[in-house]
Amino acid sequence: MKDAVKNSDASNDQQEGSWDWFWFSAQEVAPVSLIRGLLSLISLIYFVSAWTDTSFWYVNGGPLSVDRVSEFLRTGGLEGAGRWIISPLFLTDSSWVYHLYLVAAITTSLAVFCGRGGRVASFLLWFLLVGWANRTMLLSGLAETLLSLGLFAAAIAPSGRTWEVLVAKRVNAAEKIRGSLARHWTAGFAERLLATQITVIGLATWVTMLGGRVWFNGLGAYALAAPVQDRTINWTISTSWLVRTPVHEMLTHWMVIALPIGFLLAWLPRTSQVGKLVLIGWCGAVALLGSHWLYAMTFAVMVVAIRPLSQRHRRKDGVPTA
Amino acid sequence: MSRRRTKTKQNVRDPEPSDQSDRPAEVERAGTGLGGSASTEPSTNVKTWLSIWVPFHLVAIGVSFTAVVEPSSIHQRLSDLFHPYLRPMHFSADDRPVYLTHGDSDDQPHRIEVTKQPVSGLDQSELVDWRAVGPGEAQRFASMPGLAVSDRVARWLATAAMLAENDQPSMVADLLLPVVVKDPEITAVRIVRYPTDLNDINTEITVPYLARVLRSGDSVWLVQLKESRLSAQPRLSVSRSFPAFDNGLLVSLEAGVLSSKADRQLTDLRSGEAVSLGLHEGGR
Repeated sequence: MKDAVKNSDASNDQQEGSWDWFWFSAQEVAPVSLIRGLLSLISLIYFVSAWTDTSFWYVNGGPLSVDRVSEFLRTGGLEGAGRWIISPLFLTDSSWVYHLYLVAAITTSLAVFCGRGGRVASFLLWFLLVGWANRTMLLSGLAETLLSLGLFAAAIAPSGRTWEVLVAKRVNAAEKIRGSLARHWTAGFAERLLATQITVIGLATWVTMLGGRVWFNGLGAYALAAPVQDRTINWTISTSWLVRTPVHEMLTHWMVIALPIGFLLAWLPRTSQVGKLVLIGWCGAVALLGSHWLYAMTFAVMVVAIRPLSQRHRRKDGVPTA
Repeated sequence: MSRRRTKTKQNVRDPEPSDQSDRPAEVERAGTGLGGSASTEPSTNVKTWLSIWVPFHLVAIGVSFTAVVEPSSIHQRLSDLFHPYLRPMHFSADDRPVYLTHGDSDDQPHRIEVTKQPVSGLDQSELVDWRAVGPGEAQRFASMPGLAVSDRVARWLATAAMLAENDQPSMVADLLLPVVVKDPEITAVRIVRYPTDLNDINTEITVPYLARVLRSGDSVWLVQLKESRLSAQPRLSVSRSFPAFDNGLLVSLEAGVLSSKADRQLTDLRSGEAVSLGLHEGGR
């Protein structure tokens, strides 16, 4: 009996240790800085591309002007749909306010990319993105949701400069060692949050894909590319390889199995890199076929955060053992 | 409770409280921008709260992202339950196409087109010249498919087309009026849906929404034009002259919806063509 209790306690300790190790062990700041920098770069593209049509949507009388939105919701009896969608931009229809907001967002994106402003700048960028995306309401897409989740998680870690991480391999060994010692538990927590979020989203994406028959009958990849007027690249011309039945059927089946297999491999220690490559390949297919550039880029960047489950090979502080 | 700390430079911040004694050296890389000290673990309180929040957060995301494809009533209620948490932070999927495509009509390309020529009916509308308008038509980098502008336009028009097909002309008018209000010469507006290779080979461009633009002073109305159809429904008709029709055309309004601000169905007695009016005014 005592042995059983001891074993149970040991098991509980082990479980508690696993949870703490997974979420709260200190990790290098540099990898999260890289992810945050890339997300801020995607945000920058998003805000810059939003500049051109701001006057059309939000300014007084536009399809998404405050009066028009409230009338639209009232007419359709959809007041509930607008509940909890909060943005400071709902307070005004002035064009200059929206442009000033975009200037602030672009500046903050650049500051975060450069590692300036610490967590305050990172959370400010997230707040600005959320304010803009919520203001866009029913017209905002998946990219905004992914960016919001990604920026929020990445903002938890201490700040760092993106390009320093990118060129880190070129600096001398001593510098690398010193750099690797910049660790913090929030960096580990942010990295785990990014990884688990994208895993949940990836699996949800897979489950919802299975709700459509095109992902079973081999037409999914072709359906992604078919609305050519809304696509950057036309893959449906007669000379394209995608119009060949074996090609688009194989691609469709690969896109369906790549998500679960990719995430499984990415979380396993020995196959982590292969799994990430599979997932990034999936993002590439989504971007090229469906022109979901911002969505695919954000998805791929968040996939990079997956760090395999290899607890037995690590000490509690997160430093790999020999 | 000793905490060893190695200072490489003077720029070392005070770390988070820690009760662990066997922590590795805590070093900040001064001058590199990799700020933050190397605290190895958060306090027990922080751990507890985060351990509660993380599962809640992940479950909320999972529920929201899987609720986009015909959720059950339980699933929908659960999803609604998380709205106060997810929506203010824009974490909610909110019926966005997480699945990328199901090959539905919503995925087909839509365009909004206007004309300055008179349009009297759906059949006749094919004979006039239409011009595509909207932010997606500007040939700029930002209009490139896949970027924010293109996505917004696609969702805007797909939503309007879906509402038109579900007999919600007033809501469509809310979405489209801003396009026609500013140019007084526009006489009609339509949404066109392009077929894709997945459609039947005989499928041509369809028009889920066509409306005449009526103006009276500073007010603008959109009158949806639909295909002629036979109806056996009894009608209680009220005849009156509608001011927007300059020729004093008699129209018949269904009394049941006369008091409603929402959709009012009108039947053009002269042409025998069904017309539904989104009574939404827009100032020029």
